Amino acid sequence: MTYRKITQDALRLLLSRPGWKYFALQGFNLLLIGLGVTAFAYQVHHGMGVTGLNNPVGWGTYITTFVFWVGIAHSGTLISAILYLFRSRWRNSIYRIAEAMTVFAVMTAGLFPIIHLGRPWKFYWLLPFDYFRKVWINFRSPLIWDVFAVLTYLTVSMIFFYVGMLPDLATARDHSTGWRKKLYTLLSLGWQGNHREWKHYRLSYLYFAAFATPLVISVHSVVSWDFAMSIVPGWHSTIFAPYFVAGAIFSGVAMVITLLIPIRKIFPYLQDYFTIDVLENLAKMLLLTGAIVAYAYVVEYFLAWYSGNEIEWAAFKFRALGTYTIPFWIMIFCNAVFPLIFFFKKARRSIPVLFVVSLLVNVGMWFERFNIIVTSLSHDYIPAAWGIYKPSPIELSILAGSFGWFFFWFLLFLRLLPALPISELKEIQPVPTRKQEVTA
Amino acid sequence: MKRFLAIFPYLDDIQEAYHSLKEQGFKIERFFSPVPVPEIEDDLIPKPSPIRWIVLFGSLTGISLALLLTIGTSVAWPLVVGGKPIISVPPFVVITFELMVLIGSIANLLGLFGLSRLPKRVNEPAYDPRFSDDRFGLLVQVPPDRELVAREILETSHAEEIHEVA
Repeated sequence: MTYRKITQDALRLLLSRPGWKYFALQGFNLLLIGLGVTAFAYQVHHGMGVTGLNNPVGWGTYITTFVFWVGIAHSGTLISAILYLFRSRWRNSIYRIAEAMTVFAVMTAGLFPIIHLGRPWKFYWLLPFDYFRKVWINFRSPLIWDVFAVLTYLTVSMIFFYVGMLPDLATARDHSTGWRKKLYTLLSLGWQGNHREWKHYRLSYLYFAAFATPLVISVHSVVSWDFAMSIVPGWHSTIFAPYFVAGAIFSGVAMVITLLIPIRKIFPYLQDYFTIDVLENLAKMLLLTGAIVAYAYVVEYFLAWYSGNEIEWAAFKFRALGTYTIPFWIMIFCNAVFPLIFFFKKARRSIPVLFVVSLLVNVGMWFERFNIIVTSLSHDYIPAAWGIYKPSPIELSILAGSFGWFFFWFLLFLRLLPALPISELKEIQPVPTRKQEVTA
Repeated sequence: MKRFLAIFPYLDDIQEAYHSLKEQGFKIERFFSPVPVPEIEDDLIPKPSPIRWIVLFGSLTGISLALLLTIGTSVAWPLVVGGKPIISVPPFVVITFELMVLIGSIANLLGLFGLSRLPKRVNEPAYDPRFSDDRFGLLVQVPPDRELVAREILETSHAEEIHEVA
């Protein structure tokens, strides 16, 4: 594949006029966002009573969805940073899309703790801002660690996303006209691809990857500690951090597959880049992380049983066989059973199978967080304090709105910023040389 | 002093031109490429990129800020929570790690901008839009009496185009 073809294909995706289907999809996303915003406005006006949250289940759909979206974000960084450090070159074609997914997923996740606040306009109380009255935040609280971890993750992944795109924005600037040229001129900051820029860029990019790698592990560990640091049965476990990180990458990889397959279908010329081999590698990652998640499910039960702690064991029995048995078995089948099909090469290379299983994993991972959060709270130490939680239509509307919000940004990205990483795709091609040309 | 901007379709050609020009004592002002070419970049700027020190400085600043914030605020309003010491190191490590990464990454970004001299004006005469597509380029300083030598080297190395830049 020549450099020229890569530039042309990337620009074709970027500069061609979107059809009516694109606008129809964006319209649908805006409708979903409208639904979510209306539901949120209703909740602000009437108070948290309009949700299904109660005593004892104070965390429900919002926190579940928060963890779900933070999890989705993780595989983007895995693909862009961790696989970069491992020099896995197959990642080059899909990493921009995965990274965009990370940024928009964190943007979505970040809304939920604020939506969950009874007085969302006081969200800035989570930050250490009150110097004059010296009323500081409690740094011993995992919820504050979360604020720092998620905000750092959002900032760093946005910077990483932008820096990776800088040379490609210059390509877009050099080959576009009109308002787009103005936009890309502004965004590319005058990048020319000269020796000075590339020299510092190479090292800078390496450091970004080196920082993003432990960061991504820390972020979902911190999210897991929101639960594990408490003494609620079913939460207070040392395996939570690695278990959550594996789950996050698992769900994120599934979302990458879910996004790539329709993109390949709509823009057939991208099949040269998002090849079936790339999808197969993603399926292998899904299989591996799915196996780790399945192992964690088993170990959780083993720990509860072997500890001899009756309350812990009762909580786990309730999770599998109690009121929430359906969500539990959805989780088990979607996350631990269905991905096993990827042991077969044929399934790993079958687009319909990949698409369906990736969707099932997305569903399963949402239910995993629901199970962990809701079943433990609804069934802790004192039977008199047990209670049941059911998501209210308001919560479900905001959940639907979050999908609209995520896909709105993602579709906007696809048409506004270079989704194919032009310079990194060129890097994995043989450099054009006269010697090669003559031999060919 | 004049400057020549030569455009090449092949990397081995431009490498040949680069070495010949250097041997002849010409000053190479810039090398352009759509992808990084470490050999030439490191030859033109032999010192390792100081980005590493900037990132280190940023990270250490992040660590110090985090310690100041967590320990300082706990001491400023000493409130025992959950029977834990006022200065509880393990939770503060989390904040310290996050701020190390945050400030280190921001320093990395600013360092990259500073060292690469970004942002800058785009349409300099000594740039060709094809450099971001599939062409390589050399910007050479040529003293008035050596124009022919430079032109000959560039032509022998199969430069596709040679422009005079003011």
